Amino acid sequence: MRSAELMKIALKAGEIMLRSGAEIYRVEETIVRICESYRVRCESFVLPTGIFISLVDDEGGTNTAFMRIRDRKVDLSGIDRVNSLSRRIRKSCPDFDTVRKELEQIENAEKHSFPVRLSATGLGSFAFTLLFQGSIYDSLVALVIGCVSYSAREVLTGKSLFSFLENLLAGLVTGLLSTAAVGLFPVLDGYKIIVGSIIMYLPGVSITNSIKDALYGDLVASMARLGEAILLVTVLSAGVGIALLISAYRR
Amino acid sequence: MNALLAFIGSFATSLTFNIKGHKLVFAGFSGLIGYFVYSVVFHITGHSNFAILIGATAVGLYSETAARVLKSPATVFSIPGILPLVPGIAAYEMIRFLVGSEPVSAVGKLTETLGGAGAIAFGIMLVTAVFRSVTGTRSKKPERE
Repeated sequence: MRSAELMKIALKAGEIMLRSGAEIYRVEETIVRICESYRVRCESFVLPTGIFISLVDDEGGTNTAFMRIRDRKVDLSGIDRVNSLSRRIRKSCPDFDTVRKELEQIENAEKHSFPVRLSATGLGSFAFTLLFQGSIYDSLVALVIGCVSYSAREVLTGKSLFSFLENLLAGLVTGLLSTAAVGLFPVLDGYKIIVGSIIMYLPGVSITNSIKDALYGDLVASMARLGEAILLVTVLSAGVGIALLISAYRR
Repeated sequence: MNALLAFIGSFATSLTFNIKGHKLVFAGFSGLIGYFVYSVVFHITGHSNFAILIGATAVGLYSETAARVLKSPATVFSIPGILPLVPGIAAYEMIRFLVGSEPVSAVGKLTETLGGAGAIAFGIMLVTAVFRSVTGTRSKKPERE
């Protein structure tokens, strides 16, 4: 009974971390840390798309659970909170109800609202365009384009379609709007606008995690994440490329 | 001035990655430090990929340190930090050459892009590996009954 409860908690913690985009070794370590804090032996095996946990009870019988993870999004503060929760569990071994409540709280925590993320994207596009030596006008256009493409992307995210499609659309919208803006105001520098606004959609999490997973010997996850990153970048550039092709034909 | 822009950029990306509270500011500083080191090294040596490597190493150092001080995963700081270093211009020019049917120039730009991306990866990898071997992040197992 006790180990079934513990299993649920460990599985939930792992699920939140993996869904939020944590590295594999961190998920495995957290699960083992939680179980061993309650003096239960545990083995965990995590893939980017699923979690296996096996607990060994006092009689030596094993208890195994498996969970498939389908959708993933980036939520670094979720990873952070589960991580520190597991460290607290290790120190003080709170009872299961407290832990369960806290996990639920983390899972349902407020995300930054859409307007905040939208203005962050706009601000980021603005800053990055300036950083790439764009003029102030380029940057202002990039701010607007960043907001528009982010909203377009958000619409697709809500529909939960094929996730690579989001990046294709983001690239396409950015490319089309930038070339249109340059067509209207020839003083603008199209490529600085595109580069500046595209940066916000780069799969930074996949790339960083892929490096870290490789370092910790999780080769399967590392290659999977690398493949994901390459696909995302390719799709994003395909979007921009299509837009550039269209604008080249119109001329 | 540019480093300040890198700060804003990293700060904004961390917002979209749902980082919260004072950690946002520290994530922004990660971008500032990385870009500052990058531009100083680039100014001295004139070699872009080398500068990216050193910049990424600086981001890695900062992130691992901040992670230990603030008790947070290092990725919270390193992911926003590397974004200003990404060779975006080379990547864009590659696409433009491809669209303009100039595959030879495109491959040149592809090499440049991959070199930059590899430099970032290697810089982060270097620091994590060193930190890991020095401090040993694998947690010690509690003694069993």
